[in-house]
Amino acid sequence: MATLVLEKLNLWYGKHTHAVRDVDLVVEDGELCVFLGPSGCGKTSTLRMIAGFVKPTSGRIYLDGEVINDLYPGDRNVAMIFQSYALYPHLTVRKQLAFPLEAKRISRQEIDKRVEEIAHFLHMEDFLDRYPQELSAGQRQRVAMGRALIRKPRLFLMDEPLSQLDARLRVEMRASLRKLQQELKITTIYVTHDQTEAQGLADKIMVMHLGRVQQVGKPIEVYENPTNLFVAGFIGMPAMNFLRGVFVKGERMEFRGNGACIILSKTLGERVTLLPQKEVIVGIRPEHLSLSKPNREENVLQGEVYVVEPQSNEYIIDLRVGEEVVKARVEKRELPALPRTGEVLRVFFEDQYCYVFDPEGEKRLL
Amino acid sequence: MHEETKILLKRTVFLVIALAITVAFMFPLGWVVLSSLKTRLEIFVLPPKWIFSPTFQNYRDILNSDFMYQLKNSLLVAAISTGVSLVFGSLTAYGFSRYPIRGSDNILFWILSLRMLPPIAVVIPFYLLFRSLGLLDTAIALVLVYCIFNISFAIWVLKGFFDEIPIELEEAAKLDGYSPMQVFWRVSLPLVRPGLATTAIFCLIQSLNEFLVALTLTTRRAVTAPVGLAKLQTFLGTDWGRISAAAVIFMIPVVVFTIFVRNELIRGMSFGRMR
Amino acid sequence: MSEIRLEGIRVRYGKNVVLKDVSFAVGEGSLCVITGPSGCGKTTVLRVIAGLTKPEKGMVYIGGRPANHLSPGERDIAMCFQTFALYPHMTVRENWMFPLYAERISPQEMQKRIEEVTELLHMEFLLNRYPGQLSGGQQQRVALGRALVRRPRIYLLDEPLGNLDAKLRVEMRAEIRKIQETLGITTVYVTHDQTEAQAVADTMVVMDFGEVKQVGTPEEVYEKPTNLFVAGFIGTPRMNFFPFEIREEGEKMYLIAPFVSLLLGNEKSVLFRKGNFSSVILGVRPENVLLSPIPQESSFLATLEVIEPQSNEYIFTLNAQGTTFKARLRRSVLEFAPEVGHRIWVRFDEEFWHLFDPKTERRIEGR
Repeated sequence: MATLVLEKLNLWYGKHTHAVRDVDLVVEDGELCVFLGPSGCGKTSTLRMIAGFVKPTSGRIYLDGEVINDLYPGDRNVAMIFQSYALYPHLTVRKQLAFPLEAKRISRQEIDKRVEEIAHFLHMEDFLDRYPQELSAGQRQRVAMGRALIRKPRLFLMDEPLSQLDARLRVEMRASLRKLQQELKITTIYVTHDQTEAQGLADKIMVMHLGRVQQVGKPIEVYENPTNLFVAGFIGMPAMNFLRGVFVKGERMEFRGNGACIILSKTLGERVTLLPQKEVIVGIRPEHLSLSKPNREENVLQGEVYVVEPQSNEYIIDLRVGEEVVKARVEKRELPALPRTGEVLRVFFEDQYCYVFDPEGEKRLL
Repeated sequence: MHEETKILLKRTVFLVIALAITVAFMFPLGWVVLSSLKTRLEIFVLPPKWIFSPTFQNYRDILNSDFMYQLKNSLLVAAISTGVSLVFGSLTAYGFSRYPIRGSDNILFWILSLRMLPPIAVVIPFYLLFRSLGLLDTAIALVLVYCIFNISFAIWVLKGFFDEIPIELEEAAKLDGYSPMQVFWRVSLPLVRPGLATTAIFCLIQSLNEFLVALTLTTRRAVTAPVGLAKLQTFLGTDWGRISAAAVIFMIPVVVFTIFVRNELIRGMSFGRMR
Repeated sequence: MSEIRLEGIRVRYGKNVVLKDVSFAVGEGSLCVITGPSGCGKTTVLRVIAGLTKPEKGMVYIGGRPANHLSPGERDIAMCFQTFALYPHMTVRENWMFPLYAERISPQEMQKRIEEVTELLHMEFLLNRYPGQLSGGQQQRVALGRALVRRPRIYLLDEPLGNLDAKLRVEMRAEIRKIQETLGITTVYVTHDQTEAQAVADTMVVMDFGEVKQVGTPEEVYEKPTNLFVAGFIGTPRMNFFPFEIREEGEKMYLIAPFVSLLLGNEKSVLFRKGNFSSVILGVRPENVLLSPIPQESSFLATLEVIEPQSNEYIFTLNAQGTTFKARLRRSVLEFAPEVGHRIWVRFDEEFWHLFDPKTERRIEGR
């Protein structure tokens, strides 16, 4: 049973760097919570406070109801996988696995038994007597996992554990990691800057930026209902398209900005009229832009093809719309042939996929 | 064909140069060994005799003389000061590496500067100091003085090695439940073994070779080998054969020790590749 | 003038044969991406083109002329190294100016090029810093910039985006593509990330263990992989592979596996009879795995083991009697709310079957 609660957590490095600001979070027992954000957003600092390597400047960390702020890392019953795995170069795999248990007073027999168990569980029997330098990245990762799990911790911390693997292995390992975590039902905190990874793994994502929590929610929530500009632009690959401009009332409601001009549909136009804003940022995800029929007028963007990027069964097409570049994800079968640079394409979006943000506070308006 | 001869020529030139340098360095060593096996007369004959029948009389003389006692003193003093330096040096270096404070760099530089102290500048004050302490002509006095130089060297070298160890290794151990002291003993120290070996070798060599302080602070009981060697040059004349034999015997402990720790030095280089 | 052609290149490091008989061509002004898993030899190929590594056997042609004997400097190549190779004692601006001094251009032209590259790589505020003061990603951009300020005959880029954040990588790759198109300089680009390769390449060279597995456009390599390796390497998530036995029952041929039996169409039956196959590997991409709550023709039951949301899609890991595989589909298309442990009917879209001979690992031709 391990619920983690972060209460108004703050961390200052020296006098000038406010690395973590007022972080509040609840992670339920058995949940996999991902701390997601760009480098320097405070996610690793928060993780290190939970591990006990850094003391919070203010705020409390509760694990299973007890405040652990002042507990020595070794007394928190928390295990961690470091980005570099942190395997001891002078110990064989077998000794690495036994190492955590040797800190407690456990009999040699019990230690050996548990080492065998975990080696079997993670398929490490073949290389138990090798040194970390002799192993592949994937094998090292398993050893790191084994070393963390062998203690049967109540909280599992992972700091970008897949970043050392090449792209293909990363995608494969993601699903196995998820499966493992679900089987073991251990409360887990996972830190990453890769939002694809976050979406694929998390029960809940905490998006951070400049030390602050931007949004906490399930992957689908954070994708479909971003609360502000940062989250909207960070989640999703390729990133959401942002167009700055104003809504103009004429015969129909229009959006105009930087050379782009979009005639809004009636329903969308009505909702937009209710907004207090003059200048706005409109956001539309590339996957929500589809090829439009030539006679369609509403909710359409027209532009020249700037770059075409093939991706599996799709194309990511960069369109020059006015002064802006807008990306659209179009399935290959929708297009008769590979679009050429300079060709004019028209794409449209549905009402519900048009997001509107306030350029000042960056909050979401629609 | 032209390419190949060029490469061959380059290689030959390098070989010749390498050989020349090796000979230049090994020559004095070789000469001493040869001299130790010659009689007094044979040593000074010109042109030098390369082929002769070796005599072990020099060695017999040395082995039966005070020199062996002096060698023992040297080894004792060197071993103790090296050991003490490794212990205090590693702990201090670790402290500097993992718990830096404001001004750490300055303090470290000051420690390094102790190493650069010319012994001749402090030899007289030390004499006066140890005389008032009643510690003249004792091994302890020498150990204390040598420690000054050895500890600062150890700190300087070992800090660099500790800095190289990724801190995550120690954090992982802490998380596993090991106290900071245990982490130092079971994780950090084993990983700086090459550094310890290097430091040990240097400290031993420095301590063994030290002459000026040993000369000043000792008279009879605590005389070390270098001083003893010098004493072989009496006003009655110098027996070069015996000095050579003494020098050869003096070299042996260091060579043996280096061979022992050679593996550590090599192993240390492969650990480095882990990153 | 700047097409590149490699013929039968063989490179050995000590006892290891690192490149075995590598041959391919890069058209003038095109962007060729060499991709493959770590250690497949792609960086070595780049070094052979650059002249930094001498092949044991084989010819390198640049601009139609043999170039084996030319030193790297003589080949007029700008290279961006994976390990950056930045001058630590020079600022970013100086690092970029350095290669330009050799090019005898006017100071205005130098300034212009530096400005272009600065804007492109978002380095406006970092021009006066030293490499030691920059993050890994920033250093990478400096390395990239150093190649881009020059206008050589050929660009060689070795994992130029390797150290960047996922997001920055996706943004930058379109820009690199755009620059290359604008400048029209023949470029050879190495990456282990096949999504990057697909996005950027005119031609892709897929390698494994020192061998060229397939050369083609991103479409060709994705839609018609000629062997098992390429099929499994290109595409994310990976193509699912299912071994099947072939059985004849009267006129009809069937593919048999523990979890399903599939009827072979006429065309394919003819192919198999001719080739005398007894077993086959069927490859189906996750995007061509169809799911439905009700049984359909040729469908089988599978259990949902892992659900990974991705943008507007789901990636499902499914298990049918011990065989695990993945499916990818749009959330909007899904007819049900997925839950782990759910059982669902699965079908493979016949239009997108990839059949491979288990012995040779080659594609069985004819769809």
